[in-house]
Amino acid sequence: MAGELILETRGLGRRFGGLLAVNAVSLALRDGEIRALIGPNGAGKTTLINLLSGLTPASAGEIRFRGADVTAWPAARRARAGLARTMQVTAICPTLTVLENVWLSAQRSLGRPPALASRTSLRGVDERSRECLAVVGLAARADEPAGSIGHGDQRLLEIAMALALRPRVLLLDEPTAGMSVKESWEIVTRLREIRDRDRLTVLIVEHDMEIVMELAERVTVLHLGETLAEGTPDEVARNADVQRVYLGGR
Amino acid sequence: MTAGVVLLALVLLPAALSRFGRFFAAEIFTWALYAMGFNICFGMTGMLSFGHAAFFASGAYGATFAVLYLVRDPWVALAAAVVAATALATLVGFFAVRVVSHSFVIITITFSLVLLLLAHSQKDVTGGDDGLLFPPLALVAGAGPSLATPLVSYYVALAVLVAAYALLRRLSCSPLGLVFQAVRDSERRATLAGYDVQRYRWLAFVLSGSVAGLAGGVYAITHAQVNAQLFDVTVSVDAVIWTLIGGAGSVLGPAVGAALVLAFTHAVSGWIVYTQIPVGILLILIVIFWPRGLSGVWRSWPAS
Repeated sequence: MAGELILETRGLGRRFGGLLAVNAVSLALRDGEIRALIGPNGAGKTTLINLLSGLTPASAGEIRFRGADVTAWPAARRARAGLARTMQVTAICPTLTVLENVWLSAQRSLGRPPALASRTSLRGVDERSRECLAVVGLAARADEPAGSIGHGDQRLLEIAMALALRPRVLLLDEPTAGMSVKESWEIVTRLREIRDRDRLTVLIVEHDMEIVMELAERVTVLHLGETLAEGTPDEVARNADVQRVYLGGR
Repeated sequence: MTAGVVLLALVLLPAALSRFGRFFAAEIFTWALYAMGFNICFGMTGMLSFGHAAFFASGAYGATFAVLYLVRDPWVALAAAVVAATALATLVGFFAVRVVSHSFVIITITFSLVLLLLAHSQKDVTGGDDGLLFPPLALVAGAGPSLATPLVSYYVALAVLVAAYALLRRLSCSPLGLVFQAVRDSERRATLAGYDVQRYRWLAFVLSGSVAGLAGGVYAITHAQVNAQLFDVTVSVDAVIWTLIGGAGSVLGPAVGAALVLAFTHAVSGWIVYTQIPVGILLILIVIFWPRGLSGVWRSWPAS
């Protein structure tokens, strides 16, 4: 069911002083797949997401998105091109309302650089924003200040903001961190619905192996900044190397 | 509705004011405009500038040079004020928006100090502390009532203030205003939503400087004189104080702060020499007890 290559890295690396946080990672995401990125703490998962989204510049290798070499693109340009992400530590605008936060992305996705037009004149933006809030189940809280809603809701808000960009690829850095089991599974269900509806490609960093097994079609395992294994969830779970470093097998 | 009543009151107010009262009100409108312009940078976009005197002063000088060397028309002078301040803010902003927080404060202070020294050293051009004088202007290109009349000054300053207020209100609830506020709240979020943060910080800085320069232009045409002291750091600090007192979270807050502090200073100046002391105490109390300023207090009152 997965389509053509949409996001691809070749020999991607990032060095912080003497530390090789990400080393020669070659990753290929196909259009429409859900890929989980797992690995022990310090494996380089967040650094890899930062490299893909452009928050951290690469020190080696290249990143290709929809056929274009985006390695040198700043983060904002990648976001505009359809590469959206959420942060591990929630990044929202606390004094703006929940709806305004989503507006920010939605008005950008309509392509027109925002100027002095009154907000109400951009009806498409409003519809799109409310729709994205509905998808993550936050429609009822639209007018509350984003800083006042709960932590779990803020994570959902981040996902809504990412969706409002109409992305082709969604990078999710531990979206379920700090959430209850029930909330986590709700997100998983929603993510799959969104993917099926919008034909989105999802790369998700996730610690909960149950969620990984259920949600992901393929799994990439990082260890010490390098790709240790890649395959279907079952293949990865059976992999001896993976069991040794990550799954606690012996 | 409320806005209409306030506007009507302001239009009718001169009838109840003395000559000095009218002049003083025009003065308040001028500084209120300056404070509102400053707040695009500070309250809306989250950049604390300590150098806005430079934009006010360059606007004032731009207007004066237009009058002295170009044409004796107050509206051309105002346009020149905006052009001069915008040009300066574009230059200063180019460097300043590359850094944040303390560094931003320092770079804006430094620029304004350099300009202050430059203004004093180039006495031939700026007139230094003595400044430059020109005969009062007529309202429209040499015709109509003189701007030396406090009543005319009053209405000119009020008209510019109201026009700028309408524009800033529009900005604050526009898509562009939303981006400015997002940059203030979370640079990271604004970036991830696809905005080049530095570019928007620059734009906010330039808009802010333009409005401050417009206020400088109003100052020049209503006083028919400017001097190098307008570049002084105290002028920059005033904008910060007025905005903190009035409230940085709304368009009108800084204007209210400017009006209150100026009126208060005037009222006590008869029996207190160092009026900065009570203003300073007021500022400390407000920062502690009403961190959102006086307009924040208003807005937190239940509407129903």
